Amino acid sequence: MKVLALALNTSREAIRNKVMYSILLFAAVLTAVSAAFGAASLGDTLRFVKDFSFFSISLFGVITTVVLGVNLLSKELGRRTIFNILSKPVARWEFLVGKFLGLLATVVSMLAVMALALVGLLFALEGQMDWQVLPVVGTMMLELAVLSAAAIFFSSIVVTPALAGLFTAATFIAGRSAGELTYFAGPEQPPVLRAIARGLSAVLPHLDQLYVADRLSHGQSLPVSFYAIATAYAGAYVAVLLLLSVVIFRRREFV
Amino acid sequence: MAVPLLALVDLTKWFRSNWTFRRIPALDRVSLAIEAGEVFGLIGHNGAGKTTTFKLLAGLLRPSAGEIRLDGRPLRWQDPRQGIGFSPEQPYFYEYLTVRETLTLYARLYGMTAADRRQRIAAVTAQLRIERKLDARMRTLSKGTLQRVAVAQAILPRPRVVILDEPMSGLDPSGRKEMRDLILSTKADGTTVLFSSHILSDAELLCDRVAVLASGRLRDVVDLRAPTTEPTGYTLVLRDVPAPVLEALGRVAGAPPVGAAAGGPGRWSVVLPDRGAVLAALTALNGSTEAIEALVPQRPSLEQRFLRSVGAGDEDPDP
Repeated sequence: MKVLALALNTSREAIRNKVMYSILLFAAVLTAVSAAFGAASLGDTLRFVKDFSFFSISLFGVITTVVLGVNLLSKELGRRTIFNILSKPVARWEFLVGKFLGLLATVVSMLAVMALALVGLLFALEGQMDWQVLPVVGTMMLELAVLSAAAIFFSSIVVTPALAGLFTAATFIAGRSAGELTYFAGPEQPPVLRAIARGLSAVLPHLDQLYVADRLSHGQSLPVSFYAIATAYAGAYVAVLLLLSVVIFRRREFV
Repeated sequence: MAVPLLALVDLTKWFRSNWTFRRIPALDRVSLAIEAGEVFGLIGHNGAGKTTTFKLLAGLLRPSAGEIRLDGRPLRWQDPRQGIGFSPEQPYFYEYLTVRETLTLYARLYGMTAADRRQRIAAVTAQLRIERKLDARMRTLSKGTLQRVAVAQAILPRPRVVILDEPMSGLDPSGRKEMRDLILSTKADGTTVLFSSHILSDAELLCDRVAVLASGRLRDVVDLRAPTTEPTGYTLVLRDVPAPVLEALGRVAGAPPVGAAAGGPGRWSVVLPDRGAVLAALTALNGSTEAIEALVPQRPSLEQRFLRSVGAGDEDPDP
């Protein structure tokens, strides 16, 4: 109940933030431009439109998550609105989980709007519904859930939103490149490099595994078990990050 | 002996400086017992430790030593503050929410049911005369209205203790009067009120007891309900007294009478140190009691006691 009230308030704040609408508008414009370029391209128009649109949706999803995520706690602290929240019978974990769920709901809603716009665009180009969009955007949502938790985690450690944003963006880039670590963990590499690569591989979120747009737009299909495992993996990663955030945030004082 | 509703036991808080990690004391072994149903004031200069005390009570700061007890049971700093309403010094709200949304959010955080929320929001906003502002965005409100919303959210769940940090801050005279009435009506409802103020006359008008803080230390607790102990002196005001009588009165008082500031010429006042001196002065008047205009016992005002406790001019910088 309290968690939901906090989540609702977080979403409301984001929705009433005009920056959100600017990002959505920009994403829509970019998708429209991709359609125009696609029509003029020599190759497979549809694949071009899909690739470009998936890239746009992912990019704007990540930007929104990082910008909103790292500002969630710093705004509360900077404007001291947190005084009125934590002086109520609200546990620290309820506050953080509420913030996370509110952010996630906002990002998921935004992705859903962009996905619907893409489905509409593809329907106009193909003359039929293209349901391939759904699993792609679904796994993007899982990726953004992990990134949202990372933003909350870094915000609970560092004070400035810029630093938290830097760490969250770095986590995204490293997570998307996590697959490359298998090369450095190979037997031909020096033992120290191998140990570092294995350590990083164990700690970093494997976001590369959650981004399936390339595979699906190239006609590859993925089994249901993949989505189940991906959901479980993202859920576990989010749970660990939120747990660590709560442990750190519980010790925080508000001067 | 009855257990106080709220007790501070050797409550201590120090902060660490950023670079040297030196301890900066903000509150030093403060012990207070606040009884149920009383209005208790905290007074002191800036940096005396009033806001630190309230933040410790609200669970926003962790005590460095000592403890807080609610109903005799220790209240750890991370325990949810059930039964305590808190209004911080500056009203901090989400600007994008309306007054109704703000109060609904806080009511939900208090765990109130939908029906209770509606009923209490209507009652509290009517009590604070902000019912017409319910659909206004917080960012559009004046400081006085924000202060009222801050108090509204603190009393919303009918808490047992309501903590108001400088509730008169930013209010005009009529707003201050309304706030005073609100505090008294909150007390009449059976709620214990703990508030801080720089304005001693407000504290004197409202409080049952007042604690004087200076440099993080408790200097005095003044019980304003009980008549003060013996007067510190008596002021005798006289009119048209012959010169020899004035001289005699001067000898009794140890200082010659002075012309009273108000009331025109021929009016004199003399300060007598005790009851014995009063009797001696009456004897010196030799039965001409028609010359007496007033005999006023002098008791120390809260301001005098405050200044005596903290030492005049002992103003501390903010920590």
